[in-house]
Amino acid sequence: MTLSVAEKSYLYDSLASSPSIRPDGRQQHQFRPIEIYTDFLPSSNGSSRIIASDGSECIVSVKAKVVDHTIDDDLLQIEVEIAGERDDSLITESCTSLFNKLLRNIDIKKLQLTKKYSFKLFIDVLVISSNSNPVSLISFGIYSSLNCTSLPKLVSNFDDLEVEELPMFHDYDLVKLEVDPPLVFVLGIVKNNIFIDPAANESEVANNGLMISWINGRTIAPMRTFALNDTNTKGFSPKLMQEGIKLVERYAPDIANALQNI
Amino acid sequence: MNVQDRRRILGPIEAKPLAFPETKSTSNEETTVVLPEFQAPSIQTNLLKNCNGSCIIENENTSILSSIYGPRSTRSNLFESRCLINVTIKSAVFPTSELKELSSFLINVLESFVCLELYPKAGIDVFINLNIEQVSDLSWYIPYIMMSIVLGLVDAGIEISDLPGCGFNDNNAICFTKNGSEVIGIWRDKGDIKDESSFGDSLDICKDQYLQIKGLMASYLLSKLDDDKST
Amino acid sequence: MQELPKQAIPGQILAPQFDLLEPIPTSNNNSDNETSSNEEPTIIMYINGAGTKLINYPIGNNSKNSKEITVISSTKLGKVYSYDVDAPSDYKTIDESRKIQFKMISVGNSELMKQSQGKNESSNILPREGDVILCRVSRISLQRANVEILAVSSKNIPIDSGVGTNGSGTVAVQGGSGAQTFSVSQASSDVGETFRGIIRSQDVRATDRDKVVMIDCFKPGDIVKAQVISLGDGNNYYLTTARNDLGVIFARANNGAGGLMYATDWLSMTSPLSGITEKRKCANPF
Repeated sequence: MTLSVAEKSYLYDSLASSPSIRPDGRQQHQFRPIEIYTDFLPSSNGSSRIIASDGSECIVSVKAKVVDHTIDDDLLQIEVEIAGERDDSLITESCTSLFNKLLRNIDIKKLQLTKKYSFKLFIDVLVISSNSNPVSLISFGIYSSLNCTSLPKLVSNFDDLEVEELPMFHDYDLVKLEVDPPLVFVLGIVKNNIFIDPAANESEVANNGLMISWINGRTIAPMRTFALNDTNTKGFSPKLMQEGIKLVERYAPDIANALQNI
Repeated sequence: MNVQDRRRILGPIEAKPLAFPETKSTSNEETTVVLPEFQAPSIQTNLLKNCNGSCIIENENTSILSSIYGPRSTRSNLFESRCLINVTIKSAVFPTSELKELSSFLINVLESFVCLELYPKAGIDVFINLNIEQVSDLSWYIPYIMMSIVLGLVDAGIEISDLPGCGFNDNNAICFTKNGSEVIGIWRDKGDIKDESSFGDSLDICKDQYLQIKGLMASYLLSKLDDDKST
Repeated sequence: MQELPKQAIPGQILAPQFDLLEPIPTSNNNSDNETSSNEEPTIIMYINGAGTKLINYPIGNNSKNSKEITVISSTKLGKVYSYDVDAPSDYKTIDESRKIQFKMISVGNSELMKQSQGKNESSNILPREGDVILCRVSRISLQRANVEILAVSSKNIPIDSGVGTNGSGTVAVQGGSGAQTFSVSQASSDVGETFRGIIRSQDVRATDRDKVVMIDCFKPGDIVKAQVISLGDGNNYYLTTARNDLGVIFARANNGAGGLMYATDWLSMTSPLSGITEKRKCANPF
């Protein structure tokens, strides 16, 4: 989105004022409305499609494979693809690396099938269009797709160390995967104000951006700053970080609740 | 229905599976070493002859070399009224996607203190070589990487609005500017944030480290100015 | 008034934007205090020259009543110079009763700085509007000549001999700000990383501008002295040779196969070896 100098100055001043006024009248902690559809891909174990109100859209699919976890202990693998970006572009690679770090917070014990075998989850993310930073959108997509993931039900023995046996599954019964997926929140910083979910026009004037991850009541790593635009980037007061963490801790449970009820 | 027994044929009743002793792979094990929070490094600038600015930061187990090229022309087809910055990090130890993530983080940090508007239509290239003996987390190296980039930029004569620096404590690598009154970047890779006050404490420790690093850089630069005068 | 430091490092605060010349008994260097004093001190307005930048610096570290003050901060490592200058063109006098002096502060190390009174950004090696440059002609069409910029006059040559700004060295194939905007696989390795420029046919000479025949003015390979008229678009700087001292300075006869030619008048060059005369728009060599 390209804004004129006058538009930028107007937006900046209104966002920087105290209390800050957002162009769409949202509160500091308020998200834009999002639409989520889950379980729409018949060939994957869990899937979700998430559409933000500005037309940003993202598809997440979760597929599972049985692996020997004594050999391969990397049980969650994520692949991010952003339409219009090369696979080796900075944004794609850093998104992939970020989400791989984020998913280390998931308890992989939940994926264990037997003493020897586990499910390995392949999470494929496709960002079809993004008008503002896609990180938050992707994380919501991953959250809702993991929440609706069902895996085949194990019928063979749990203890297979002594007996050389491959796990066997029930023909049609599925078990819901129960994990606590993490969430990532993007916060925009304008002068001395910090707010959740900056829209494209807010990103254009933001001085900096903060990314805070959250899982089940805890603020977790990774946490990062990243510039939301390449013209207005500036330093910010250290206390804004604490304010951001506080903001996320206060409102994240509500958001997780809302996503769970889909 | 064709039911197939997928169990392996286990042989006679009294047969036992072969039990191999557990082999410990000692060589390939990635050992993460916890290094002390800040080691005062040795600094040397103006080493490389084919780039505009360079700086090497060394301490016991690490040597980080930055080389700065530019401002030079870009192949962009758009008119850029400000300079583009590109950071490339090379290391044999860390995976490329992680290095790319760090370089995009560093580009964002650099954008907040390099005077980009002075170099229209141009690009500045920063190359970082990490030569690491003992492997710690990537975030541990950020203070030294920042230091070598900043001194490299000064060496290249590229105008920067401040001497920023980075401190590392409790998995947080936090970059400061303006004497610690402003933060320009935070990178945290692992560990929960237990509460605000512990985060605030870690912030203060990072700030102290930043001031220490800034002092080091300032005294190095001033001593270099004096050397230039005497020769 | 505060003494200026002799030398500066990047980020060092050199002076507030406004300062008082006469030290009055209760003075401090806060810019707000000037109005309240009863005497008539001279106000100094510092202007940021080369190597310095105006920044807003927060004073008072406590969170609530933090104020920002505009100061001049150094952006380079070097000696501090200050010069008396005239009022900047965009300065508006609000109060006639105040005596205001203007001083420009610059930071740098070179002799160029002294010659240009701190105005020339000697460190900034990029071509700017009005600079005289040397370039090599790479392509000719009916409407324009495409050139590669080789050197910018009165600017320092950087250590990497200005790959990109002052020559045609090659850079690492990977990476580089070129790679950021341009796929590496598409870049051929012999593409010079120079800034490119265009001399449009109407900018070749000052008279008869619409009757210019490009091929009678430049040939590929000629070294041309030209002036930058605008930063142009994303690809090219726009250059002009419409001045007596601008135009071709070095050229070879027979499309580069012959010997070096010398200007005989402003429209022709002759090779002393073969006696061939070719048409060029020459720079006055004297």
